[in-house]
Amino acid sequence: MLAQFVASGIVVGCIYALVAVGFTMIYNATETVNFAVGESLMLGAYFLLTFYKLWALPYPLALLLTLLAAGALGYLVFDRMVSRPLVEATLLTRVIALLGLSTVLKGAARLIWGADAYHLPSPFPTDPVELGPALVTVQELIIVGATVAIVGLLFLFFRFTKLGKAMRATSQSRRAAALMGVNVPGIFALTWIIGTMLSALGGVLLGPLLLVDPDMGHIGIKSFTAAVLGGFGSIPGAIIGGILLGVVENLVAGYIRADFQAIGTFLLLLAVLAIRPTGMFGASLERRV
Amino acid sequence: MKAALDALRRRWAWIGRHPYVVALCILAIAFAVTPLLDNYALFVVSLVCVYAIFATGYNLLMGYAGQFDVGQAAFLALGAYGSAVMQNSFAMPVLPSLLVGAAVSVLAGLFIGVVVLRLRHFYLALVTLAFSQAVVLVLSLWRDVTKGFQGLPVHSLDILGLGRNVSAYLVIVTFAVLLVTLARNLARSDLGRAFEAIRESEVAAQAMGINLVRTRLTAYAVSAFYGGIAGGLLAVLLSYITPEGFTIFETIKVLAMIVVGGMGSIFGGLLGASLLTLGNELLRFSQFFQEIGFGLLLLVSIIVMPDGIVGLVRRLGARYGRRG
Repeated sequence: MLAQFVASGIVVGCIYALVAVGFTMIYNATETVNFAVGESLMLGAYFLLTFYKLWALPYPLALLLTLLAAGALGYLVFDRMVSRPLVEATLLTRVIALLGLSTVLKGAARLIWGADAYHLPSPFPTDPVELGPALVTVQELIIVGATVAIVGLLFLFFRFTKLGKAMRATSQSRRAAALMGVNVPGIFALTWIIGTMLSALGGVLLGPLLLVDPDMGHIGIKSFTAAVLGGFGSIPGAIIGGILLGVVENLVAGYIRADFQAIGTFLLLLAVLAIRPTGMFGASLERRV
Repeated sequence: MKAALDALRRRWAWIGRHPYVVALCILAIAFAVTPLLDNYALFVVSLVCVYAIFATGYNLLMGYAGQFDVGQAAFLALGAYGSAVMQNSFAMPVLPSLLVGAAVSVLAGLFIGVVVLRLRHFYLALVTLAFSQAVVLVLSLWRDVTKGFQGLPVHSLDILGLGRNVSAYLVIVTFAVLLVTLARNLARSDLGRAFEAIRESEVAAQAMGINLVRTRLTAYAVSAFYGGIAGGLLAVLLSYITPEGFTIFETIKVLAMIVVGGMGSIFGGLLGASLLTLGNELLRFSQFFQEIGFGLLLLVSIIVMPDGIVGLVRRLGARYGRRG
């Protein structure tokens, strides 16, 4: 049983990790804690639902359209409407703005798609595959594979392309990057686009495992938790944190009770923050007076 | 313009000097107009008062003490459920059960206050958000006591045979005037100054001899008390409570109230609570319009007027008032 719980935990953890990576990228570049990440995940699931199930488009096309829509959401709403007017504001002001935005998006989803929960179909077979002592489905293998591929692509992008380097430079020092000729607002926009796409992808992958409804965004707290577990601002940390969280959650659900998952998440968050108030690898936030 | 504003300011300056007179006047007017109000008006004014209490408590924690808490709905929930469980399981009368609810809420406030003592900024927001989700979850899972999603009935008040609506109105208005006056005094006491000091800089506040741990915990306890009383009163007003009534949306509502009115100003909190509760009544027919309305208001006002209406008026006053 243990192996089974760990295996399912890793699958869900991969999705958390994807969302947490986007979240961390946004935090690193714009110093904004995206409290609406759960809602962009929820909208990602709804976009795919619309394109794939309601409009009956082929899956690859639906997925592509979903990512485009998520990118547009990231650019128009997150970047232009919220992040850019508040670029000089304090961190907490931006958090409040994003809390407001998350509520608006939730209301909008309820308005457009109704309050009912939908089942999001997946084109991938759910035939079980024996993997050592655990049974996993093809769909789950694809989730893990997709995560590895995306993280790998992001790594290559950050490491070897000029744009990736400009993004890393911006997160190290906005000012120095601007002085070196980096278009900082452009980088912010790109970061929001990629970050929102990643969380939408999280919704796309998570949708078939859960039900899609307007309150789905409360999963967002899990990607915060994943990011905190790994230390805020560290991308490898976010990946490890996501997988760790998925595994712990599944162990709680398997050995204690399924509905205790959220409490398990909360306790894990508390435990890590009690030991290290800024996360496992996070830097100190103390400032001088 | 300048002279007129100054004259206005002088004429109304006594209000600030005689808070108790003002409080008693408001209370007297509220009691006197009772026969004029129909049931719906009684309900709406009571609701405004409940949110005024809730917003005032949140404002003390968030606006004054600068503790970025986004789990305030948990205190509302614990106050409501604390009193409802006392009434249902122990047959306690309504008024004492309110105090038990508030006590439960204060205990939770102290607990979360201790938990987040070492945390700052958004870490605090994160933990309190998770806490409030955990509270809602516990309320929906602990079926033996809370009946889960089915919800709990709450007894109505009846004072001197005045009927449930009038009784609830009188009790809620009295609580609101009392607690808001208390909060106004607290904000001006040395504790209130200490709250503001730790908001501005914890290190500097400590250097001035402020006990950081005690002050932060006091802020949590006071705020939880207000939230708990507001929760108990809300339960009396609604006469039925379910866990879904205390999700993050309640926190967003009260956050929007103090942001629109003005964070760090008791009056601003009252203003926001009144405006938004009345606005919410207009949107009551649909949940999504409520969500979009509150969310947009929060989003737009934090961008356009970060200090709320009170800050906006103060800025205009400084521009046109004394010595320009």
